[in-house]
Amino acid sequence: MIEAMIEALFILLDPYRLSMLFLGVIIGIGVGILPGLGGLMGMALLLPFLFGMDTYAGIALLVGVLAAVPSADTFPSVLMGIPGSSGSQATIMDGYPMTRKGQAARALSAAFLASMIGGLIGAVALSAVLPFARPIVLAFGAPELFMLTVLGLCVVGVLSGNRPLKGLVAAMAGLLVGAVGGAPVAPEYRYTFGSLYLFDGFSLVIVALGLFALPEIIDLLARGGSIARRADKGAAGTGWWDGIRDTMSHKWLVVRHSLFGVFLGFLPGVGSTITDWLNYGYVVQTSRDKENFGKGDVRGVIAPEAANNSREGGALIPTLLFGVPGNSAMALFLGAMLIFGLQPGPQLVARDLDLLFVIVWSLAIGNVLGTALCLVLSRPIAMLSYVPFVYVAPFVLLIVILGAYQESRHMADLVALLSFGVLGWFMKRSGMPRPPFLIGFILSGLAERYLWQAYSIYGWAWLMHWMVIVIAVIAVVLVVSGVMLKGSAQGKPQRPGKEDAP
Amino acid sequence: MRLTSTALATLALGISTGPGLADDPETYFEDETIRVIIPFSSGGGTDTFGRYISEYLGEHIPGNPTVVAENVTGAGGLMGANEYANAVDSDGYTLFTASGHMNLRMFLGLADLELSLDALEPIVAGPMGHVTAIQADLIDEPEDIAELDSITKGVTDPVGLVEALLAVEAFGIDYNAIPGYDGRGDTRVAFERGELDITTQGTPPYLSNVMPLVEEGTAQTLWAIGFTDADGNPVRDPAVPDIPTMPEVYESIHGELPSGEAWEAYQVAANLVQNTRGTMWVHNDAPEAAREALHMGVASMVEDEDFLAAGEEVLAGYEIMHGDGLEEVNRVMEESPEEVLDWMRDFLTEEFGVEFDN
Amino acid sequence: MSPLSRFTQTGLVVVMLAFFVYVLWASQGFRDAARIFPTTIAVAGILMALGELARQLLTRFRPEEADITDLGDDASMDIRAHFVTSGKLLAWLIGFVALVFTVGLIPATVVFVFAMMRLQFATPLWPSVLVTAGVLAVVLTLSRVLLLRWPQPLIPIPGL
Repeated sequence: MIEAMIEALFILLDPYRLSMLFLGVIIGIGVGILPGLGGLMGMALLLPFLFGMDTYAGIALLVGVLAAVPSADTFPSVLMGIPGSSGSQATIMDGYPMTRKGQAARALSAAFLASMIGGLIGAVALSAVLPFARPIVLAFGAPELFMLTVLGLCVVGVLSGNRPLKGLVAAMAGLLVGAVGGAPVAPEYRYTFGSLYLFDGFSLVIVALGLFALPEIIDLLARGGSIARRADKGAAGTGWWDGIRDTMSHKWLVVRHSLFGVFLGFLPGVGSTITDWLNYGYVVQTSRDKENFGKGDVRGVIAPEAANNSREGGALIPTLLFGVPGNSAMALFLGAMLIFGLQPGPQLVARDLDLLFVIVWSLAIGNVLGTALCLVLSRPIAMLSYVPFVYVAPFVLLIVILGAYQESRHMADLVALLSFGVLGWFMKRSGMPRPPFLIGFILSGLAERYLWQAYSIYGWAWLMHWMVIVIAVIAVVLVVSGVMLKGSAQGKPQRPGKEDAP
Repeated sequence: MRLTSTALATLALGISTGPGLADDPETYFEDETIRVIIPFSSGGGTDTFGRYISEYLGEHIPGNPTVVAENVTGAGGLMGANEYANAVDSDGYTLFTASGHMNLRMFLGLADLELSLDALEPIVAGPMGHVTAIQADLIDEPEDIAELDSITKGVTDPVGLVEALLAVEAFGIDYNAIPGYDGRGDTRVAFERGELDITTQGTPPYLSNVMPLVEEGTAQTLWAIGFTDADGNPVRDPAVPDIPTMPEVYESIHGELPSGEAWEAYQVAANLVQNTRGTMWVHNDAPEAAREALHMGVASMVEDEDFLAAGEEVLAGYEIMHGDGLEEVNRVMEESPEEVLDWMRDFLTEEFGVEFDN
Repeated sequence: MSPLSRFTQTGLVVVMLAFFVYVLWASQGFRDAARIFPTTIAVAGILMALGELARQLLTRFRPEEADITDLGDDASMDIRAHFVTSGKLLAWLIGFVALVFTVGLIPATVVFVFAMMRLQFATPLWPSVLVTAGVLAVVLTLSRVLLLRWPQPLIPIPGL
């Protein structure tokens, strides 16, 4: 095994392959920074060039993209409150408030260092766990996966602040908007009004961009000035070292969430789609002093960022072992593997060990390269938060529109984007939290599908599976501890001055 | 400024600026761009096939046109198919890549699908077989299958695995359909987990993922879907010649080939779907010169060593079909009796609620 | 909490309530496998929305504390003026999408960016020109790199 590992390193150290890896990282950073584009787009662009390419070079190229995207997508999340891709949604919660306070550089450097460590842990975990991962992945059947969606929904409680009912209403609305289109367990098209565009339901990218990007752009423009409220030019770009120190001093947090991220990446379907939200809920719930979360607590940046990079290592496990992609980017990676004649499956581990370790090394090296590049870029890019927003907005707006349009390449994409933008703006203005809506939307189809399957296969006996019970207990603890903490928080005197918040 | 944007718009829109000599296949595509619509997302089997062909086809068509593959996704392929039916000129500058099941949907006339096989002519197709396996603890040997009571079978989109459903149906096995799986990969994992009793996979994933289970002793190979010839005799799958086909297994139990409507429907579905797992179509009312140039391009492409070497894995050991070889596809399309198709539509509607236009 | 904010807050919940009722009504025609999930969620949503309306009624004279849901928004601003400006900006966006439909993306982008900067924000001429040109360059590059094919507008401009 060690020999294969060293051999793979030498395979990868070939200049051509290394330059391909580097190219992949650059492309990954490019598509990651642009809101609405992600690893899926980056790899789709490369797919036509793979025919006839050296297998290892091609794999390095693709893994380079995979490794860099979850780092680079932090930029729009932190700087503008716009989810860069599906991996960095939760980073908005604290990263963006930090930017508003003039701490963009600090948030970014903390995020990237956490990403780097997370990515390395993910690569190590991939190689260490792969030989034993089969039984773990197989242990999660339809009932267990359903309970995981329930656990994901329980995070809504954490994200709803002092008014849980509002959060729940938003989550229910999200679940129902997620039900638009073809029903997962019956040949029925729901609420489509006969429009083919709605047959697949709304795309996650459009919903996320609409809910978060458009309201933020409108509000910032309406208010005038720059993103960072304190337009103190002298302070621009400072705090870079503070971010590094933040991550170093929370090193156990980084390790914990990296491991949690790997584990969630394991679970195809559920885990990898809501990795960052589950991690955010986890860090809020296990922190003793939580009043600063949502207002710019650096831990709220570190936890999801460590997890979304390590997740890529985890998500490769079901992809390589079962040929079941954990998310849409992995589905494309799988397709690319087939071009090279690599059939995923148990024999891949037994026979193509060198290839496996080329993937691991690419992931590790690509991740270090990507985060290092982002760290270097973070200081100048953070300056954007001090530029009058009028000059930035047209660029952001058009990129968001292009990102939305490339989803299904249909004019209706723009109408959908605008509609969710209006909804998001009203939600923002009326204090109804948007993350629960998004989580409900993501989990809707999964919840319905797994519940129906669990019932069709096991009847009601699925409720007695031991893992179902364990996950249920965790969910109950999450909700109850949230409620109890809120109860104790209400006992405290309310701070004056904050009361008239809109 | 104006010049650049014009040039870019031409590039970005893929607009063709008028054909060359309209009736000469040698010059028809000169300096033109051919757009290949792939109605599924990047990375899937159909996409891989379409992109593989697109990558090599251009340099072999007389006049060396640029071939650009484009994914027009949505509504399970309906968006791309309907765009090809309604929004594209039938001048040969746009081609359509379909999966075998997409072809069957067009053949049967799925509701909301506006593209019909009657309007299309195949240029090139790649076959792909399927193999069915069963949990090893259920039976000792394939012949015991007839005695099973009821088994669980995962269902993705019913039309998408119709040959597997019809095999079970023609065999007369009772099954409990579990809906809601995203694709055959998901049903395979559920099978490994023991949640599903039976699974049908394409040959490559069968060999890489199910074979290890068979060797381990947890699964057992049941049958290959295989093909049938014009007289309805079973033909083994060339990629897995050692695995008996479903009708052969049936014959070894009952002493005769299966009969009845499910069996008739099975023959249509198995041959159409498996022969055309990836198919590139052109409008059949495109100018003759265009169609001829495309066929010439394919004929020259399949002689190209590079093309064959790069496609070894994409084609999974099956021989690519073109020119006269496509007659097998045309035969199925032309000779399938309407009452068999009606039976298949009724079956899919009654059992699974799939709706058709007629 | 200003009356306008209170009105928005209640109005949004009422809209959501209406949405839940619609979904509940529209779901009843589906077969079982497609009906049960939305029906359950819609009923739960209706109950929660009613609960939220009741809560808003009960706490209408009490101030609400800012919390995690505000994403670092500040409290010190003129809500009414903010609504008016935001409404105008939204109108600009709708106008832009309408323009994309009629004349296509590229001309629409030029017109929209330049007009909005000049008319809405009174930006000086040269910065407006530069930003417009920059945005156009970004859009053209991205469309090309991503192989985006924009659909034909209703009134295509010849040469574009």
